[in-house]
Amino acid sequence: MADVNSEDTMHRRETLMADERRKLYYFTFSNDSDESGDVDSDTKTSDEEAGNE
Amino acid sequence: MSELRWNPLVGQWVITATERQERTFLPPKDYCPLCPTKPGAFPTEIGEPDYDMVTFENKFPSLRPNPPVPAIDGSELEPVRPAGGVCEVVCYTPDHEATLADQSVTRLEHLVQVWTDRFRALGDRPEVKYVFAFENKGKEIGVTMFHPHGQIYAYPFIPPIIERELEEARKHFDKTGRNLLLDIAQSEIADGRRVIVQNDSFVAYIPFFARYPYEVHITATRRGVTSFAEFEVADRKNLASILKKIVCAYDKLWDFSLPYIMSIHQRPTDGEDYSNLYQFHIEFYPPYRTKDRLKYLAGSEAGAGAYINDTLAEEKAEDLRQALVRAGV
Repeated sequence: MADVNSEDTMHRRETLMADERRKLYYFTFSNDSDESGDVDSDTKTSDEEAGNE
Repeated sequence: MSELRWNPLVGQWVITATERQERTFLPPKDYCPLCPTKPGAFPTEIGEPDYDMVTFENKFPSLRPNPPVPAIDGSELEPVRPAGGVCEVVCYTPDHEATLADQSVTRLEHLVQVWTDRFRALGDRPEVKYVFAFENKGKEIGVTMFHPHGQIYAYPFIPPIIERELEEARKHFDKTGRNLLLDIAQSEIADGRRVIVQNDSFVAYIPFFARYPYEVHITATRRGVTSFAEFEVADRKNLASILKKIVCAYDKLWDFSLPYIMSIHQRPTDGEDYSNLYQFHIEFYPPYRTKDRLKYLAGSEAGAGAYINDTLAEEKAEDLRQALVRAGV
């Protein structure tokens, strides 16, 4: 039976769409967290990764 | 052209958004803009070859983060405002053929987490007063893309139906000292005839005052849950579970994928405290009244705002309870 007090941790990655105006967020989920269960938003963006900021 | 025009007759903003006339309309599967972009194939809105869940700003928004100056002058009687805000699309799955009912409870929990993230992020914007998540499902509802998705509108005002609910909730609180939505939910639980299913966080029922034959409300029963932001982990799991049951019961009702509008009602994000007044709830409006007949919003509903329901909520709730048993979820 699932533990009602745990859930998958959410990761959010922000990027810009092809028109370079609109924002798009990719959400992924993992069950490897031992944190409290609160949403973990990874806000590191593709732009930051690409050095475009 | 895009702006807010005030209707002084009923005290409501109307959003004018003329670019939306050009929006994508029922594209073939190979050109679906909500599918992932496969190597060498049509470039969709989503640039990567796969995804889990995605949200993005709508290409044809009614409300924009940087809205244009209104193209027409307003007046004291009929003011205009820039149509500021955000319109996002929420793609539930990369599977073009799926529906919400096809998703696992775990995946629905993930969707609740995504909704929560967007509620917080959009609600934190200073111009946003209300974050409204919804889904239009089915051609009968007027969808322009079949790929399973919902939408989120972040409005610069509290929309009229929510404002009306809050007014009634305030009146009820002033009169009784109690929360109207909790009183309605508790009244439904006590009566039982219209309840479809219940768990530790939510109750799903066809309300006593249902406007549509199969209108279902899912209301949070834990005091103080006014939005996704107040959800605990168990609430997320319980919402996913009850959501799965309702959409599966809908699809088992007549053994076809039932169209609906799913409307998620939360507190405003204007900084006021609604914890005593309001409760998170979801309202479903399926347009079918029998397996082959639609309920139209015609003269009385559209022209006078007076709904006529040709059915009894107590009987339709029994239909849905039986469909839920057949669904086996």
